[in-house]
Amino acid sequence: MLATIASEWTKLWSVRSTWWCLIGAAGLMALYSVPLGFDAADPNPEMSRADQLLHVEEVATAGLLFTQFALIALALLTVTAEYASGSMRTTLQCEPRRGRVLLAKLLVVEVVALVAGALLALLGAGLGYLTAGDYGVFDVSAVATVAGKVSVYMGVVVALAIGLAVALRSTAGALVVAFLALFLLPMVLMMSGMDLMTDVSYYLPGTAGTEYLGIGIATLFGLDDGLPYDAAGGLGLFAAWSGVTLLAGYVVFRRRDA
Amino acid sequence: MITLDHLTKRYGATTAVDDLTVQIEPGRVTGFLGPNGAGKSTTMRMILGLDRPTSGTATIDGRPYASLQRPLREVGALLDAKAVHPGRRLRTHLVAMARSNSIPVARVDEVLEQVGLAGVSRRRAGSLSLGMGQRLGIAGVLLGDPRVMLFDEPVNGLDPDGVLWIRKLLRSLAGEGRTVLVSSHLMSEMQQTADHLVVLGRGRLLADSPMGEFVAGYGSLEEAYFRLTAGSVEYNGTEVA
Repeated sequence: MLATIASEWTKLWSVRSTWWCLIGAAGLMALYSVPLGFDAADPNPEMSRADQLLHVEEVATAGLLFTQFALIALALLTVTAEYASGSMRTTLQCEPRRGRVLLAKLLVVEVVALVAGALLALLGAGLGYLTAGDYGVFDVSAVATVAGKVSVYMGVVVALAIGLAVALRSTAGALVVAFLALFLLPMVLMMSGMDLMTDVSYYLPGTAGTEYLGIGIATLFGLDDGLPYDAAGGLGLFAAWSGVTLLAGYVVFRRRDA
Repeated sequence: MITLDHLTKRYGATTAVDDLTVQIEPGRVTGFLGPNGAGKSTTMRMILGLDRPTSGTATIDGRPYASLQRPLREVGALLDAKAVHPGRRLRTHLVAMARSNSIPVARVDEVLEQVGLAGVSRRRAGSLSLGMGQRLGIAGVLLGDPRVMLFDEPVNGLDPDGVLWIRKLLRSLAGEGRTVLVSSHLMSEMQQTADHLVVLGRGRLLADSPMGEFVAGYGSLEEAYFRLTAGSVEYNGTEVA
């Protein structure tokens, strides 16, 4: 098992797409946090100073709705790029026990996601603080808490991505489904204005995950009153979605011809 | 030794491999012949545990591939020369394979030297010609120094020097007592390389015999092959006037 993990680790860092995804994530985070910081540095003189302070831990989560897709791409490419090139067959010749291959890929990606999640949060908070001038508030414990949450969120979301990748085998297919489940579908259902659709939207992974992060899509639409769970419940539901997707992916991975 | 026992693979209504029972013996080069769609590649994939047989078994020295602890040390296989992530460097591709089976990384440089790719080992796989891809695939076969080797169309894309090189390589590997199974559509090449032939047509076993016996009575392997497979060619073009 250790050998398979070592092999997956080598493979992950020996393709350029891994680096591009990480650079992309950092770039997207900067794109969100820097304007927020500059905006805070240029206050409205008619409002009180206290109301306009930028608590930079909030900056760290603001851009995640989009930034996460860079890490999702990284995660699913570890599987789908192998199907695209045919090298999944080489991987399965090296380790024919497919459960071990899936577990090794998951573990390697989890390490990256957990570390990258925390670093991204720190980057967002840091850039926000640097650009907000006198209006930036950097509360170390608040920032650390958010970094931990973002790290956990990324850990859960990449597991979902790997599950989709082994189930669907195609980069585009997996990415589209991830985008729908995490972003588009909750929004479309909430915008529908129909009670039934709104109720369904509460249980989608995107709604649950963002509720945990404190940037809830439901809150965005002013629908958080009806939400049947709190932040911790959001994490639970989000993790359940990931677990089920991963399990479904594992079943497909085991049964289908490579 | 590879043992196929009533091996069958169906895709819906089509039967790709039909009740195939045959043994591939060590110490000789076994040529694996048959028209397109005869089931050669499917059979190889089932030997490697990549495709699941509908019924029957494929075993290597009595054990299914999936039960091998470090499979690259027991079975090497070249299925598709292009089955490498195009962005990965040749050497790293082999290092990742070696790590997965606890093979020393020094062995990677040995096989790169052996297949003639040592000078380009830092190139990315996507920039390789088909011939160089075949050499990389062969390096992967040799990596674990296995007793059983499978090659699916290994001479595709190789230049005449490469063809000669692989012929000598296959002969010497079999000479060392290994089991060597090679598929090819190049009859003249096969006649010079193989000691034994296994011929498939529409998934069925048409012949399992030594080269000498198979060719006896015909001028060449090509002629003998055409006689045998005449009824089994699935994808037929029209006659050229």
